[in-house]
Amino acid sequence: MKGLAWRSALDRPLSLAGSFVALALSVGLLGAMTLTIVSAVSGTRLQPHWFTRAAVVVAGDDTVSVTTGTGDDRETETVRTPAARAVPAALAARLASLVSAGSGTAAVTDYAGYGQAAGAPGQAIHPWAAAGLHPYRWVAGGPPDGPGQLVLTAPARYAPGQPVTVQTAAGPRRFTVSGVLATPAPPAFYATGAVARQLAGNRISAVALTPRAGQDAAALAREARSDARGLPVQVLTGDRRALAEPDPDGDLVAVASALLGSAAGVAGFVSMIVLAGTFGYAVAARRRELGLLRTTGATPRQVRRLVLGEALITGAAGAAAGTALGLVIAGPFAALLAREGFAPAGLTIHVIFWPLAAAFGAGLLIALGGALAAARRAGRTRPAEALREAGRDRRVMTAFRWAAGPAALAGAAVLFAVLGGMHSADGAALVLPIVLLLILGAALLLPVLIRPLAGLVAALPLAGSRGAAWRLARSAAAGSRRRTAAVLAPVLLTVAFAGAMTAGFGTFSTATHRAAATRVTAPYVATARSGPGLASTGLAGPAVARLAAAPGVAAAVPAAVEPVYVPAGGEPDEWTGEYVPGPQAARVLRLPVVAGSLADLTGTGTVAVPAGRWRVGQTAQLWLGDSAPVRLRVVAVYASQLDLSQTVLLPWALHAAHTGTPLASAVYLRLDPGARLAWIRAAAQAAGAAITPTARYLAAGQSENDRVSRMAMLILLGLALLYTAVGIANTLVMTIGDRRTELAVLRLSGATRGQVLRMLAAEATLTTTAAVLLAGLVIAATAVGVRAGLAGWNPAVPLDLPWAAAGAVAGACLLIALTATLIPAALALRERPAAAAGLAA
Amino acid sequence: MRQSFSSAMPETGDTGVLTSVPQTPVALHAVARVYRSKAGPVTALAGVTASFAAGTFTAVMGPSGSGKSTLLHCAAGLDRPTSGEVILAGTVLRGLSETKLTLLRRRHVGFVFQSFNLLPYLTAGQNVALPLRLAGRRPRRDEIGAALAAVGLDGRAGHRPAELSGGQQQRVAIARALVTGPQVIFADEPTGMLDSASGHEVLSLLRRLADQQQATVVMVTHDPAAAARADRVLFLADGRLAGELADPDPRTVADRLAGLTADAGLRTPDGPRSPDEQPAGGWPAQGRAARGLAGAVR
Repeated sequence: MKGLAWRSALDRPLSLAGSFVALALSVGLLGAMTLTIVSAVSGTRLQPHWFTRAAVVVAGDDTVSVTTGTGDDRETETVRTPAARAVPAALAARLASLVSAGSGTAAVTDYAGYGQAAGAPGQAIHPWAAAGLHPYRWVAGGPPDGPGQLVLTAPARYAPGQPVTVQTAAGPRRFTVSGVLATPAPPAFYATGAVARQLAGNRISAVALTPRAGQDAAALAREARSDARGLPVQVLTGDRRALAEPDPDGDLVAVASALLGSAAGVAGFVSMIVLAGTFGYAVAARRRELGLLRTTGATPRQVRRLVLGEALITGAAGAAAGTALGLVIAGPFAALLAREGFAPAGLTIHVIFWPLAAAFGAGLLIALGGALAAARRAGRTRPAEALREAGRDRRVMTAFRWAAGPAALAGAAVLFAVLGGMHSADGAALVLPIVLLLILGAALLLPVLIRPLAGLVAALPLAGSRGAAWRLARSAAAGSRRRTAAVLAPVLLTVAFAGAMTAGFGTFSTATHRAAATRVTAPYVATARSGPGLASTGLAGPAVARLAAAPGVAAAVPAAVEPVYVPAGGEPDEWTGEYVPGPQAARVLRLPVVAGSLADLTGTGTVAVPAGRWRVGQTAQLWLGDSAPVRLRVVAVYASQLDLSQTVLLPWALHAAHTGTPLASAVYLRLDPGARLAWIRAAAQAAGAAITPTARYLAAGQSENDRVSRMAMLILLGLALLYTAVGIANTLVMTIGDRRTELAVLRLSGATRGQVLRMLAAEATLTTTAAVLLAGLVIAATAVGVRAGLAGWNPAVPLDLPWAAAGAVAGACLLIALTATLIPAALALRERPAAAAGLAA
Repeated sequence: MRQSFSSAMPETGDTGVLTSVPQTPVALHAVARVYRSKAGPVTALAGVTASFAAGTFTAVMGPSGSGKSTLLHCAAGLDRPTSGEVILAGTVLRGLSETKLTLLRRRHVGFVFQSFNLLPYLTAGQNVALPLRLAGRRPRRDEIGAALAAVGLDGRAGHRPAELSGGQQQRVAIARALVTGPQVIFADEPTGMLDSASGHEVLSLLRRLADQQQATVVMVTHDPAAAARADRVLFLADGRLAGELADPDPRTVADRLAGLTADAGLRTPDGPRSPDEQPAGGWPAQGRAARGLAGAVR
């Protein structure tokens, strides 16, 4: 059969071209994505940059572990926290004594207090001794020799002797620049040891040890470990020293991987559906040829193998082209991701073999998977059936479709119920499977729905809808259901996918933010003013005090957000911890408290939690953002709504001890009656803060969150639209070839070329509109279903119908359909009708 | 020609059902074929009993919609009758799976259609070799050459169908039908698309097969001159046998046919009788429309 498959495939290059292109695109994207992820992950090879000259580094723990089971079944899940614990001062002293007997600067106690200045890079203030941990050279000036002096890292806009104001945890502080150095290590500020320690709140970030002469690093490490036994620190040597350095890109790789993973999954799913449609149509169109093969003596199995063989050939060709394509676009793709902030900047693509091989293999699997159903149908071709001339196709609705279609819809309904019952923001993960099931159900039931849909659309009052072109179009569409379904499916897929995903996630997002908006009763929020060269991080304690003391301010309540970790199901689950001073919080926040009182959230041993897990008076065990385990007494319980279900409230006093940046990300202001906004603004200015109305502040936060989802959505949409274009174009090009005779008969019956083209345009419009209507049903079902699922336990869930997104995509599909219909048709109609109808003398 | 029956006695399978009747190339017993359609059940064959002996050339004729093609398809195992028994190459067809049917056909039956007989992307030689390759055999070069020579086309093995005339294509199709040395040859209007010279050659070939190779040849035709080359003519009307004519000549055949057509017209003034005749829900069938128009043009 192989030779036959080759020749058969080569004979119909045009009809297989569409499948080839779709597959090449898929494999190209898969290859590019996989290469990007693998490069990013392998590029994050551990390598110290700050501690290069110290053999042993002792830093605080930054992992949280949950162990379940006993004996052989022991399983430990570990999570790395973004911040690390402080190194205990007593240990630092002991470690210093390990190396200090006599020779040189062998132990450096490193601090990294928050520090930022406009015009000079760096996020932390280190002691001058830390400069010896990595190579540097002087650009200007020299080391600091007094408490008011500071060394900057190049490139800096200051010269030695000039003053510089640095934002610290203790408020803005003026220094005099003593020197500027250049270093391959991350940029930072260097002050005298005492100043650095004070500005870091005495929080030791690491102790770096260099062995004495005659002492080797391994022995030193062993001694350090024995000294550190039982303390929450890690002793690091070699490449692992990098674990003690901040890793801004770590998160990004995870985010990028997740995003690309879903995009790859969607790409595979959509391309398999498109390929199934094109293969299915191709098989149906070749009924006569397959019937001929059957009468000539091909068994059903041989016919199946022929179809699969052709699919494999197309698959191999498409996958090969796609792999090459993936190599080409991986670079620009990674650059785009880095520019949008989804991947580490400077990500370079390493050409690794196995991701490309995997993409190639996936391409083959997609081709075969898409062709399976078509091959089975081809094998069932009865020789006699195929010899008949009937222009109608029968039995498009197989038993499988009748069973699977409603089953898919039922599955979606079940998932809606689950989403509603989950009472958690994690329900958003169900939106994608729900949408896919709805689309699958609609696509399976398409043939049954074509006639009513066609009738519905044709009944719409459109210009010239009584004309011959329209009526012919309607008969043609309804009469050849398989062909119409093959065009409908990609349009349905794209518009429904775009609209339903936007509706589903949009409802979640809007509901979450509307719920969050109802929490804050304060009219204004103060945030750190971000100037040129300054990333906005937060307001220090003195600034908050200044705001509270300003005339007209009744209350200035600081708040900070850090991750916390809660043991759940054998692994540490990341929740959100909001630090607020309890008694004052009630003046600016309104939470749906069901037990206890927020006013009790004081000291360093209390916590307020969402309902469902703990009760007032119980002890909650969790880890804070720096991996410190704490046991806190539950003083209040509130309803577990979308934005609260994985949030705990912690007392403000607990914040400073467990973070390197003890700043308030927002300060909620309650004003006295009759207070003048101008006074408040002036006070804020002096404190280095900006005042924003609460609504605008929350909206800005929402749009930043949404930026990520929107980017992800755009990528997925772009993919889907691309496949639709290929799917529609492919089907229409194929069908025009088959309809040449039909069109020629039309012309011989008296239709002009223009009328034939109008009929085809009408049919394309009819089909696309019908698909859009069906997609609209899917979108509406998603929006209504998600809303219903969320409304029971959340305030203010809107019905979010994505008119813009769906409309734009629908318009694009219509354009593609019309182009793919009319251009080949115009070309085909250039033939003389008699010749086309097969009447050649 | 190969003999493939092992014994001369009828055999029954495990369930006591008749499975083989040796030395019967083709036989039909009360074969009926009813199609489901949107307009209700359509009876293409309403109980036909006939048998065809080895070494005979039979023509089957009748007005449009009389079930001639359906009869051929059922007899060749290309379609399953709704009721009745079909024996082909000594084997009872009822109960055979699609695969077994295919294997039986491959070994013992050759089928020639009116048109669209060849795969356009294979050369004439490859088309002829197709049944052998499907059986897993590699044909010898001279085997194909001999098959083509038998139909007068030696030297054309490397040509694509598009490079051959209609008559030559039909002859290639006949060569393919004969390459496995089948016992039974069915031909559905084999000369319909040919000019008279080519048609004459094809009929002579069929005649030779019956006379010299002891094959059983069954041909459906609407052309009285073609039917006159056969040993006998079977007439069908409304899915039933409507007469037989031995030693036919063109004039008698034409008269009988005209009479049948007139009778059929009186009985059912309108209304289709087979799915082929039904007006399709959307567009008329392509070839049919073309033929109709061709008739008008010619």
